[in-house]
Order: sequence, then C-alpha cells, then structure tokens
Amino acid sequence: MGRLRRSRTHHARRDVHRLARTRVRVKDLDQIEIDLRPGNRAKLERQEIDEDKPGLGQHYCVECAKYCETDLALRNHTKSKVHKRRLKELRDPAYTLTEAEKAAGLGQDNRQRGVEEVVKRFEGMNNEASSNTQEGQKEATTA
Amino acid sequence: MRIEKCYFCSANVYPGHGTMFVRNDAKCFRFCSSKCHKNFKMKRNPRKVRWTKAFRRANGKEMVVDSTFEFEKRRNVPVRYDRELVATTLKAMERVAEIKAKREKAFWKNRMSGNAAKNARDAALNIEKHIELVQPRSGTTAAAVPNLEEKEKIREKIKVRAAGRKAMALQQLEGTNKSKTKKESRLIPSGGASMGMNVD
Amino acid sequence: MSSVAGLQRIAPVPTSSDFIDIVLNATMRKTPTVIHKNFKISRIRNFYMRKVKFTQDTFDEKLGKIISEFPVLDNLHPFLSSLLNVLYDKNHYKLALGQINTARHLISQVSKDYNRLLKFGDSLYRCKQLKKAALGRMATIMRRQKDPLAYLEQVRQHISRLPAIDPNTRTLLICGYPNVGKSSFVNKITRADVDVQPYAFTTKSLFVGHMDYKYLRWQVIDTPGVLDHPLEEMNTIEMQSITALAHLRSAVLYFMDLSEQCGYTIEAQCKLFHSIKPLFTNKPTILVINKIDIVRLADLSPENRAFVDTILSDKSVIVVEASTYSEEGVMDVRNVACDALLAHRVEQKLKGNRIELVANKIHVAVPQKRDDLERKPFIPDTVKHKVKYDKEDPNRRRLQRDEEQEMELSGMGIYSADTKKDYILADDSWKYDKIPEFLNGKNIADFIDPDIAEKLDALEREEEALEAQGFYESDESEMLDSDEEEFRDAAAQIEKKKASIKKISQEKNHLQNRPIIPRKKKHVTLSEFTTGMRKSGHDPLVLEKRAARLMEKKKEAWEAAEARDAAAEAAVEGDMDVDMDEGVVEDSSRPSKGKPIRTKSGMAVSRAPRSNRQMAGLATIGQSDKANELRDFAQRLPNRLAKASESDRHVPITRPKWMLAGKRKGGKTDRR
Repeated sequence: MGRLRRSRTHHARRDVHRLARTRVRVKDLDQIEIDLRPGNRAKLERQEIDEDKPGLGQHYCVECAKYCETDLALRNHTKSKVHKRRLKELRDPAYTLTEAEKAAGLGQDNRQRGVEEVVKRFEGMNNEASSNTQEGQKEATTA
Repeated sequence: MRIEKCYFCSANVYPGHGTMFVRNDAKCFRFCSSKCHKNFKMKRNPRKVRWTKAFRRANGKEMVVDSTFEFEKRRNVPVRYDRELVATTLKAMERVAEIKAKREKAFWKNRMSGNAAKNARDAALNIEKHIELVQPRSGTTAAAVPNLEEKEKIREKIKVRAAGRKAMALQQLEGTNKSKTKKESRLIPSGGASMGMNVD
Repeated sequence: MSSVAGLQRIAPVPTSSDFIDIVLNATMRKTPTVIHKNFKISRIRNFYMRKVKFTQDTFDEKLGKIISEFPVLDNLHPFLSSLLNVLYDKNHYKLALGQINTARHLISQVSKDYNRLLKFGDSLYRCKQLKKAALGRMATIMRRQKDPLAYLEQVRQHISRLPAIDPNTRTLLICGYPNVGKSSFVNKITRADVDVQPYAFTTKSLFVGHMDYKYLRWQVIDTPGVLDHPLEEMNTIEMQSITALAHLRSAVLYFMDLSEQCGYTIEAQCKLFHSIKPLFTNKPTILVINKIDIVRLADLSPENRAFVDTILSDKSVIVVEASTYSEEGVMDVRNVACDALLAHRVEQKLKGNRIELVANKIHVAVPQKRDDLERKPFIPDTVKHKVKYDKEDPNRRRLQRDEEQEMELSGMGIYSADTKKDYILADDSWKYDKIPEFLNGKNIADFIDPDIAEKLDALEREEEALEAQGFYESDESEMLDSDEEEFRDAAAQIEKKKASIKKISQEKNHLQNRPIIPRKKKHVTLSEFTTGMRKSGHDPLVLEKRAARLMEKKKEAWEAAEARDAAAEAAVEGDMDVDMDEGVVEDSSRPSKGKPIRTKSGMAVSRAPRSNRQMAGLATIGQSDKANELRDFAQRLPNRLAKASESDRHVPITRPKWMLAGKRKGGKTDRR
C-alpha cells in the first residue's frame, strides 16, 4: 500500500493538527458571526495597541479571526484563497447547539406561563418607548 | 439529569457518557463519541457531513415540518410540578411517538416513491448477470430437490421475465426523463395531504 | 535620608591627586599584569590597549558620577535653585561642572588616540611607552582639575549641611531685623535648637524647626536678620532670607521689637517692612510685636505709633503681640499664623481648577417628586405580624436546629434537612413523589407543558383527518402475480448472495499477515463439498457415487491387510523356534524389499516389523529382564537431573538472574 499522494493535498489547509488542538482553539464560526455585527466589527478593527499581539493588534481580519503583522500582509490575506473560502463559509448562518437540538427534534420554548399579561404590558411599554425615540430621531433628522 | 444531544450528530448523550467541551465563552458542547469530538475539533460543518442528523435535515432526508414537533421542546421556563400533568404527559409522549413514527414512515415512502422503475431496472440487470445464483423457490417444482434440467428451465423463465421488466423500466425512465427536464423534488409534497399541518 | 529635600546625597569628591591614585590603582589591580616580549604582538597590543581603555573607562565612570550626582540648578525648585545660587554662585558652580565634563571628554579623546597608535605598536617596548604616555596625559588632564574638584567638594559638604526644607509644605517664615527675637521664638514653638546670642547676625543661615498643630506637620523657618538696604548691597546671609521670602509659599511672620533693644529704631523697622513688602504678596502676613514684657503696642508714643500704623493700614496684615521672654502670647502667634495660612491655602485651592475634579466626584441625587402621592415601602402582612424569635419564650417557633438537636440528643441518628417539606404544590401529597426523568430515550421534562392535553387533542384530530384523506394508504398492496413474485424473489436472492460474497471478501482483508492455508491443501470433507455444490446449484450425485466406490475398495484392502497380519502373527507365535527358512518362504510371497507396498487403490499399507529387535542377541527372557534392569539403573542419574538423553550436556542455570536480581516486588526470592 503506502502513501499515494504527497502533493496537491493541502488546498491551503496547513497544519491541521495544530488547529485541531482544543488548548488554543481559534474562534468558531458562530463567534465570528457575532464579531461581524457592525459595532463589534468596528471595535475589533480599531483595537488599542497591544504588545502581546502580532503587529500590535493593529491589523486584524475579523472574518478569519487572525492578526496580521503589517497592513500589506492583511491586504494580501484578504486576497487569499483562505480568506475567500472563509467568506463563503460565513454566507450561511453558523451551526449552533440549538440547531443540533432541532435536528434531533428538540425545539425551544421560552414562553412565560401565567404572566402573559405582564409580559404584554411590558412589551407595549417598550414598543411605545422605542416608537417615541424613533419619532424623536426622525424629528431630529428633519430639523 | 438530562439526556443531552450530541453537538455534531444530534444523537442522544446519556448521563455519564460522552465528552463535553467547554469553550472559553462558557458554551458547552457535548459529544456522543470520540468520532464526533474529532470532527468538531477539525472544525467540520455538521451540515456538510453526510452521517449527521443536521445533514439529513438540511437536505430533506427527514421530516422537518410537522405538528408532532410541537411537543418535545427544551423548556427554559420552569413549570410547577403537577402529578396529573406528568401522568398525561407520559401518556401523550407514547402517543406522539407512535404518530411520529407513522408519519416518518409515510414520509420515507413518499421520498422513495419515484424509485420504482429504477429499482426494477437494476433488479433485471442483476438477474441477467448473475442468473446462476438463483435457486428455484420451494413449491415451484414438483420434486423436493429439482434436478439440473428443471432448474435450468426455471432460470431461463426468470431471465426472460427479467428482460421484459427491464424493457418496461427503461421505457418508464425514459418517459419521466422526457416529461420532466428538470428533476423535481419529491420531498416537497405537491398539494393534497401535506405533511406540515398547523395545529393552531 | 536626604539632607535637603530635592537634593540627593552626593558621594565625596576626591582631590585631583587622590583621583589619579584611585584610578591608576584600579587599573593596576583589575587588568592583567604579566607580559613578555616574546608574546605574540597582537597579544601585547591587546594587553596595553586594554590598560589604556580601562583607565579611560574608570575616569569616565567616576567623572560621570560626579556630574550626574551634583544637582542641575535649573531643574530644582526655584527656592533651592536660588538658595544654591546665593550660597555658591551659579556661574562658578556651572563652570566647575563644565570643566569636569570637558576633562572627561579630553580623557576619552586621549584614550581613543593612543588606542589607535597602539594598533601600530611593533614591540613590547613601544607599546609600553605608548601606554605610559597615554596614562600620563590622562593624569595631567586630571591634575588640571584640581580647583574645580576642591570647589565641588566644598559645595558638597555645604549642601549636606543645609537644613531639610521642603518647599511645598505648610511653612511659617520668620523674618525681621537682627536681634528682634526670631530665633528665640523658633526655639519656643519648635524643638529646634537655634543658637541665641545678644548680638546681631547670630543666625547666619536658614534654620528649620518642626511642630504639630491641628494634627498637621508644620515647618518653621528661621531666617537671618535683614537690614534695610537695596538688594544689590545685601550680603549672602541676608540674601538667604530674601530667597526664602521670595520663593516659599508660606505665612510670613514679621518680627518687630518696639523696645528698640535690638539697636534699630521703630522707624527703621517699619521701613524695612515696607521695602520687603513686595515679597509678601499672596502670603498671609502677620506682624508680631515681640518683647511686650518691655513695651506694648498700646504704650507707644504717637509718632512711633504712626509708623506702625502705616503697616497696619494694610488690612491683610494681622497684628499679634507676644513675648518670647515671658512666653506671653507665643502660642497665640503660632495659632493665628497657622490658621491664617490654612485659610489661605484652602482659598487658593478653591480658586484653582483642581477643586472641580474633587467636586465632580461627589454627587447627591435628589429625585424630584412627580406628585403628592405618598409611596410607602411595601411590607407584607406576614412579615408585619411575625413574632420576634425569642429563645426564652416557651411558645417560640420550632426551628430546624431544634429538630436537629433533639435528634442528636435522642441518639436517633444523623439529622438531614428535609428540603421537600416546604414545596408549594397543588396537592401536599405530591411533595414526595419520585418524578420520572426519562422515557424511551426522551427527557420527560421536555414534554411537560400545561396545555399538553389540548395539543394532543389537536394532533389526534389532525391524525383522523389525515387517515380520512388516505394519507397513510399504501399503494403497493395490490396482489402480485406469481411470475412477478418469482422475479422479485430471484432479485432478492441475488442481492443477498452478492452481499454475503462481498462480506467474505472484505473479511479476507483481516487475515493479511496471518498464514492462510491454500485452498488446495485445505481439508474438505465430502459432505461439506457436496452441500456447497448443492447450494450453488450443482448436482454432486456423480461425485458422491465415485467417493462411495473408492471408499468401498479402500475398506476391502484394509480388511485384507488386517487378515494377513493376523495370520502372520499367528504363524510367529505358533512356531517360535522354527528356523528362518519358513520366514524366507513367507517373505517371498511379499513384494521385493525396497518397494513400498501399495494396495490397488494406491494407498501405502503400514508394515509392522517382522521380528522384535529388542530381543535380538538375547537368548532368554531372563536375559532381557536383566538388560532392562541394567538400563533403568544406568538412567537413574540422568533422569534425576532431567536430562533429555545421554547426549544432553546442558548445565541448567543454578542461580537464575531473573529470579535473584533486581528489585523485590513480585513476591519472595524463591517463588517469583
């Protein structure tokens, strides 16, 4: 038998064994999905200077959860196959534990019983409040 | 204690079994087996791995929309203990399981319904190729142990029959291919008895 | 401890000759000393270069230390800076340090030059001369620094004796004409021991005393007396007072002696006040009338009083009377001065922007009333009517602790708290129910839903509707004709057979490294063979018949051979002592020697030997017995030693290592 092929096997996937360690597990797709929300994203892209991080934490790729040393490296990375593959992976919503349970036929039920009225009242209040603020914003923009 | 679900393949994880991985954001991932754990460590997407429940669900191999799914849920709001309620629940659980099994069977049948012609063709091909493996069924011949000539005769008969079936199947397949240029999914029930009926 | 606040301790500065001695000594001690002219030239050069370099390094280090240790006047607090200026003359001081710095540069330059030259030194002698020249030039440079070094040493000594004045703390500054009683006042209110003498300029420099007031630490600075003449004409002693007045944020206590015992008139004293008044701006100023045991302010003549009033016309000046001699009003002076200074400092802080920082941290929110409704805190009735627990009360509530104690006293066992006792359930009898958790691989908790009954009802209705629609009806229930059935059966058979063949083939792979008996060599019984044939659809009848025929023949042959053997044996037994002729005759009936005997079927027949070889050469049975006995005897020893045979020369290990060596763990020595 023996090994059949040595070349053309990695597809830019290098050092799979390092990545498979739980000790230094890199971010999962569901965590990255949270990072991608506008507020979080801005925060991650403009980090404070940190000596412990590669490139002082100034060149961060949010999608790949990866620090680059220089801006050039980051730009090259965004053009790379690895990055594009990650973008493709992120197109679908990430797989989560709830989905695993759903696949097993186990749904979620967060309904409050016996306190529906209270919940409704609170929701009404919240809606009013939010609509008020929205109106306020509108006024501000028109002004 | 709870029977948990495996993060990767959605199988049951009974108390005292399996592995749990706690991520540094305090999310718990349970695994039924080392196989699932290894696959998780390799960062595979369960939706893309064929043997997982997630794959089967995402690709229409299993029932997704059904009113029987309304019963089993992770309850995040506690309910006060009530003996009668538990009793009715136990009864309901059995009944729901029964109905669910029935519907799953119907679903499977529906899913497989388009394969009759193809199966017939394959069977006919098999018979043509390996006719010597066929033994006459008991009761087809007068003698308890048929001799060689008799056997040959029976086999010849079966072979002829198979050829006929094959022709028929091919015709059928061709007809379907012509009628439907685009392969239509049988998973989405087309009108009539829908699988997903809403209770409320 | 630093001698002066803001000034660090300075190491002594040696004189120039000492300096040279120290450095050259260090060079001699810390560099190698043994060199020979027949050493490699590079080694000689390195030896001397090292000496020169080391000397330069030592000079550099020592001079650098001096330069860094002496304070830079511009970086100090203005008070200290100008005090040092007054005492040592800023220009002179800077010049001295500058000269030292230049010397340092020159020395390093010399070393650089001579190191360069040493690289071209071609003999020990030349190298040595170069080194000597280099060190000589360095020493000369240092010798020229004699004066700056001496000056710096003096400055250092003086600095170390300066009083520890902290320019930033609460300070009372005492000033006035010579001999008006400033130093005696300081001696009275602090523990400082300032020399007091009845002549002018007893105090020639600043003195510091410390005291406590209002739990705070205060420093009191006693200044030398000041005479009333222009700033340019003032001497060093007076200038010290002026610097202190100018640069310290403090309360100024201006001392006046109305008795004129000090030798200066009241008018002169008042003039002095006015001339140094610009230094008092932004400082609480207290006019202390000293020596009231002799003259009081009230006793003053009108013209003198007028002079004093010119001072008092400024409202910010506070007048206090005291006598250091009778100690009358001394504490008053102190208290007034301290209070004034404290008030002044607080005022200053309020003016600055730092107060806002503090004020911003403190915020007390007072919610506005939205209406006149009274909103009282809610206390449940059960809490209101709860009787306070009292240990002595016989009708007190029973606590779990009581139960526990009771149980322990009665020796009934260990108490364990009942957590289920206080459950709030619809029926009290449910409290101790064992709640099932799992059913058929499902969590029961996942199904518990208050409206499960309705939901189940809806599901049942839906199910009925589906059944009515014929959702579950199978369309494959139509009857199959026999041909179709046969076809399907055949297909199923093939399917099954293929699967089993596949399985066997895959299982073969398990045997990869194990010996496999080739099919040819495998023993297969007839029945196995025939059943296999039958299964795969062949008729083994012919084979079976042939096998039976062969078997029959074999049996016959065997029986014949048996019969022959029996006959032969009978013949041997019958005539033991028949001569060999008969045997020969018998032999002739057999096939010739050397050829194996074969039956018709081709199978070899085993041939028993014709005579017993053991008996060969023995005449009687008695002889044979004797021979056996002798043989057994001879075999006794080898048997006892468990020899395999006569040729067995093996000597067993008497002390096996595996049994006797190593750690004792697996049992005792004799039974491991």
